[in-house]
Amino acid sequence: MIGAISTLVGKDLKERLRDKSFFLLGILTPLMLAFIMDLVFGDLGEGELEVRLGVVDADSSEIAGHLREGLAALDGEGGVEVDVLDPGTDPDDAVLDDDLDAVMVIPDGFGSGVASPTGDAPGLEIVENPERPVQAGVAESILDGFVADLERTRLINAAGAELGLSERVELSDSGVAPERETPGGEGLDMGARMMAGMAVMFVFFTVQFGVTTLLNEKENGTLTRLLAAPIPRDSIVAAKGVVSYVLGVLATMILMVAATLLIGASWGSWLGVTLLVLGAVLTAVALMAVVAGVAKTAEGAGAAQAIIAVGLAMLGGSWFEVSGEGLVGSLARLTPHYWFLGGLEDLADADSWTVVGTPVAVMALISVVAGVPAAVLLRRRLTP
Amino acid sequence: MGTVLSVSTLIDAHLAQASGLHKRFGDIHAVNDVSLHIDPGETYGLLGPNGAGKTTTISILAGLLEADGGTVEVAGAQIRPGSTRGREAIGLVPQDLAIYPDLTADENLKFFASLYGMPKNDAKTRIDEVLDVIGLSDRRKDRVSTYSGGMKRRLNIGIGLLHSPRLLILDEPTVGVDPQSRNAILESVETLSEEGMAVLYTTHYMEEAERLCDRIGIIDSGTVIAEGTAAELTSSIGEQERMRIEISGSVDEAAHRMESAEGISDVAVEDRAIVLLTDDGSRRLPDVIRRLSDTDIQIGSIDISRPDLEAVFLHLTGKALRE
Repeated sequence: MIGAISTLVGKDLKERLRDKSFFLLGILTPLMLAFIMDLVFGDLGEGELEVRLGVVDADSSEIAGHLREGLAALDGEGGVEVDVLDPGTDPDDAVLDDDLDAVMVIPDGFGSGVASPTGDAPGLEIVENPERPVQAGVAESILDGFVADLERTRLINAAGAELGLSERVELSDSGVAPERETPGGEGLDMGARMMAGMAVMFVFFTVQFGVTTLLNEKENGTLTRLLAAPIPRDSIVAAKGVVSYVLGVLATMILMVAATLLIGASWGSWLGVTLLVLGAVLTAVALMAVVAGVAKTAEGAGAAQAIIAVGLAMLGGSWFEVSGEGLVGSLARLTPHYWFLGGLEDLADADSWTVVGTPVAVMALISVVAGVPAAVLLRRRLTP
Repeated sequence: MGTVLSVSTLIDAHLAQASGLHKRFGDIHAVNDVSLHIDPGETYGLLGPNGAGKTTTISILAGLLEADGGTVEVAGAQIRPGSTRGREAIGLVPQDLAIYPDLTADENLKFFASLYGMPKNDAKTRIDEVLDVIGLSDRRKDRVSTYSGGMKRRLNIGIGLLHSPRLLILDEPTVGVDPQSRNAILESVETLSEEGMAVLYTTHYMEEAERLCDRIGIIDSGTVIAEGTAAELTSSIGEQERMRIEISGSVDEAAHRMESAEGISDVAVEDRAIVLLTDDGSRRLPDVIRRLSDTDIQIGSIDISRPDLEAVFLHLTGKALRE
């Protein structure tokens, strides 16, 4: 049995590596797709969102100076870079030429206006980079925090004047801190998550070729020869499963390592990553085998498998993170993508690989539930 | 006191023995009580038209299909789909090409040698021999996808020979093959037979059966309706001659007109011809021409031949072999 399986696996691997489908669909396509999405959504591969903010102080008053210095103090904090520009700088040019995400202009007369009890200060102008709306939005939020501080100070001083208090309140420091927190930890950055999502989605395509070759053997007539050979029939189905599994694990691990080397993805424990990959690929093989067992032709199986692979990927969060709540959350939990990506998120923050225990166990359960009927269905295909 | 041979001893002398085989696909009784045996070194032909049950019968003999009834024994081992026993004794050459186009001839042969458990050194020697026999030694390192149709056919046969089986089963190996390759295949089968390999050869070409086979089983609608040497089978229909008339017009009308003709025992239709069995072709010819000339039917050619397997099939079934 083992000898027959290894012979069949050797032959299938040779064919698969020779027709280059493994490299094209298993490795190159997910890599390319992850990078394209990185380009479209911007800076996903950088590890965290970076915001470049410019400040033009056309007022040079004490209050404007407080505001300018407060913003400058954020430089280098939490991915924020602040450039203090010359007072005469044109903010539009600064955005376009200096590749800034947003520029805040403190207009002339701003300080005296804020100090005035009537509060008729000219408004702060924010020029945003239209090509980087996400970063510009973050910059705007930071500035909103400072404006709120100014307004609070102005209101306090106005109230003090009404009460006849002579002492003015100094402009208080901004409480705004551009720190982003995620309940339960940071998890994966977006680039890493995108790469992992593509990896688990495309492993379905990679393993699909392996299990579908049983139908190809039938259509090409070679299954007749295999059935006539002095080998156990189960070895034929087993070999197809082994080939799918080996190629799936190989492709996914290559993608995970590539993500580490190319975009600096930090997965956490490699033992945990390996266990998650082993579990996800096992599930993919079982699910794709069910389709191959039901389909009438290899072509039909391929089409159905592609639809299922993409559908499960969307549902499981390969493209966009899905909510764990409601019906969608319940359905997502039926996909290996959800558990694989969730496991990676947990693993990135964890000290030990053991956090992947639950995701791996769930994926193993899905594999058994799908794998047993798949084996029965495929075995029924063993006819000349 | 003389020697007494038991029935089982007689059966043991056969290399392959099929007894009472039945196989149904839904309402179709594809194989109906087929029994046959093949002796060591014998070439046995299973002759019948398309759909007669040839491929189903050999699929059961090769252990590919489970019979609904009956038994198959090859080289002393019961052959069943769930068991690997006796498989080494059988070499199968399926009707359709059963080779891997992305592998070379060498890789195809090595793969099947490994599946049949051949030791590496033996396999290497045997692969060289087989490539020599099928004339592909100089293309052994080329991918099969680059081969011509004839070369692929030869490799298809070579894989069946690879493990030196005691019984080689060839399922219509010349279908769709050019005349040159066809002749090469027939010569190969003759050579193998001379070397002592038993061959089970299915075909619907009576010339191939007559040329290659020591014994022939004629199969129709899943039943072996006659069996024997070519001479025995043809003599079984007496001295009747076969008259084949190519016509343009309605073959059914032509056949109908022949049914009442004197001296015509059987009438069958082909695509553009009718086939008659007659006691004396030359004497009946004027009447046949007269009957056809009264209609719109145009006679293209008339061929009268001595009794052959086609005439036997027509006599037994009332149908032409290539109908």
